[in-house]
Amino acid sequence: MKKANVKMVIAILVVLVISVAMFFKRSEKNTVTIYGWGGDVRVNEWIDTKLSPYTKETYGIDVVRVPMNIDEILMKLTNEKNYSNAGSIDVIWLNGENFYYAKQYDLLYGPFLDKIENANKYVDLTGPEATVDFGYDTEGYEAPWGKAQFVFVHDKSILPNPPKNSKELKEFVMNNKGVFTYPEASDFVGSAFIRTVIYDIVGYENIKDLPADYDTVKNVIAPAIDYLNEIKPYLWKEGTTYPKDSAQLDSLYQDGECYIAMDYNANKALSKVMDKSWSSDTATFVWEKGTPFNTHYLAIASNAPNLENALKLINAALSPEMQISKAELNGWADMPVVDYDKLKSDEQEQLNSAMTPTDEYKDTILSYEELSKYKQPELKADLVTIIEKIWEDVVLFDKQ
Amino acid sequence: MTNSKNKIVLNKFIMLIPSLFIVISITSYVIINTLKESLGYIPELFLDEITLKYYIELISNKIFLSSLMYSLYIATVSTILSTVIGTYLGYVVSKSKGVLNNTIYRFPILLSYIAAAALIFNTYSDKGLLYHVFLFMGLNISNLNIIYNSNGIAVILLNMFKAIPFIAFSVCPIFMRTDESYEEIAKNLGCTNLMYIINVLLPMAKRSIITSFLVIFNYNLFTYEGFYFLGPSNPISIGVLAYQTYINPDITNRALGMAISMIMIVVSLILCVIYYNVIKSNKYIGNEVNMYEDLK
Repeated sequence: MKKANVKMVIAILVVLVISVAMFFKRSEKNTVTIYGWGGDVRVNEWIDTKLSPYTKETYGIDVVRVPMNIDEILMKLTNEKNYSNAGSIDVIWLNGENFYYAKQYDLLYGPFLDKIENANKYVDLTGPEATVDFGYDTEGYEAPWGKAQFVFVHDKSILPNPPKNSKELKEFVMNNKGVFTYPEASDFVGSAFIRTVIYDIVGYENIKDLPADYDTVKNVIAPAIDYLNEIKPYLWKEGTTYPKDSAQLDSLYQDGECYIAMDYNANKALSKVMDKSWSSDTATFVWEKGTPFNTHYLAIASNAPNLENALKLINAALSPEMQISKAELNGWADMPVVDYDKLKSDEQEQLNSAMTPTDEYKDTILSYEELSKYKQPELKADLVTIIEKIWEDVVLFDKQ
Repeated sequence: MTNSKNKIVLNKFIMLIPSLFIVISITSYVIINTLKESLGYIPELFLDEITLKYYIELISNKIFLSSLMYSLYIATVSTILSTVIGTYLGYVVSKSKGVLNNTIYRFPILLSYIAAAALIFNTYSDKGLLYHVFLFMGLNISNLNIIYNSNGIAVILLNMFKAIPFIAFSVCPIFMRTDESYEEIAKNLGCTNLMYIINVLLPMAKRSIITSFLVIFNYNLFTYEGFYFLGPSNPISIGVLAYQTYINPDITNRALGMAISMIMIVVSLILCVIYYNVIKSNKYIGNEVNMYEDLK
């Protein structure tokens, strides 16, 4: 009996020692982690098949992509902030209100933008894309990575003349009950749609300088919020529910349940058409008063365990080769941030070729020049958060 | 004799130490941390003042109250239905001789909630399996309106899908161990099948049914996955509200999210106390056959 007890105690001790050793074992591999939204297969594939091999080849670093929603990343960053040793996150893909709050609470490392060789060589560091993110100065705490513009998507065979403003949209939804909806405000795309409506009805100029005060913003945007409440009974499922995210709206559009989709990537529709998910009659369109346009960034966690590797990964992501590859229309199709004039002539040709659709698809997406005519700047990050909260309170939960 | 009994108890306790250590330390850390943050003490967000304002805010928050009511409604309906159907299923399975019948019904227990939610979605969504079955039969029902329904039909279906086999699994062994002569005697005295179940079998399985009910009710009340994937945008469950508040881009909302979580923890602890009392009390043990005494 005694022997059995001794054996048992030894076994428990061995298990405990092994567990503790494994817990504290630090990775000796030369890696870097990149945390970001993993909901788009094209983005994931591009990171895995283009950026990761390029970084491995250039710097000998293994890139570990960790798909996670940005709000969860912020929570993880906050939880790891007080660790005496390093955290687990190196590079973060983010922008807007998430950057604003992350920087406000000292969750980010920086300034580092001036340490990135390719940013100095190819990015206009004094331009708005490098210096301002949703109305607030970046102060070198994030590196611009790509650009995006909000667009609508329609099927020309079903809806030949799509609504180009809020008034036309209202007529459309009232005459075609149940075939239009938009994602919840907590979703990036849903939030952008609400701002598009606000720009159309209230005007960007009338809200851009508002103080970040709930009641003030609520009063000013009231006409747009009333509008969203007016169309609510005519939406998909009579407005009792909204798609959780743009991917769900994409499925509704694909199934023919909704006639209009929307996205913050102006070129995503092309890849959907190319992989036959969407009809070949699909085309993108924007509203007459424009749609929000923004830049997305890469930042580094304040307690990044692989700081040097994080800087190298960002340098790789800003190389002309990766920026051109990222812009490929049959890949991620994300607009580059490198300054066109700073590229060599052969690189310029490659970029032109990457961003030009073949004749078969030339009517599917709007050209960069066309989109530029309708781009509207983003609001300040804290205003965006307040607008999302107002939508939730007044439109979603009917709390006046 | 007493020494030997004590030794056995001590040995059992020593063997439990590793798992108890992990469970108690993690649970305690989580509860203490949740309480601390719900009181507004989150130094990493520059919040270092202890306050009850988040709890006070919740009491007057219409969205929180409607979420609580919605969760209570869904949990009550799905748990009652699951308990009734699950107990009957347990009875049917206990009478079945086939090994296959005795194992198939357990299949949903093995599935995770997310996988089960995907199954419910693929079956009952507007263009799902059921829609195609109807279409095959010549019926074009384009709007089933089960998923995202504000009455929570899809969530109730999911909860029942998971809970019915669990209840059946809990009561089946008790029904199986009843002496066949009980049934014969009862039927000779004029009992119908239903009367036999209600007057003889149910009292025997009373404690098992009540404890299973409590476990399922607690889970259904605060579950997240079912409501998030199959529930409507409005109303939302308390679990979804806690999560959405917690992950708000304005991370100072975290304290409010933690206050909601703390309320959920307190309710769960109360249910645990009731559960413990039910297990310990003789009141809930059937008079005819004391299965738990047998197991001892």
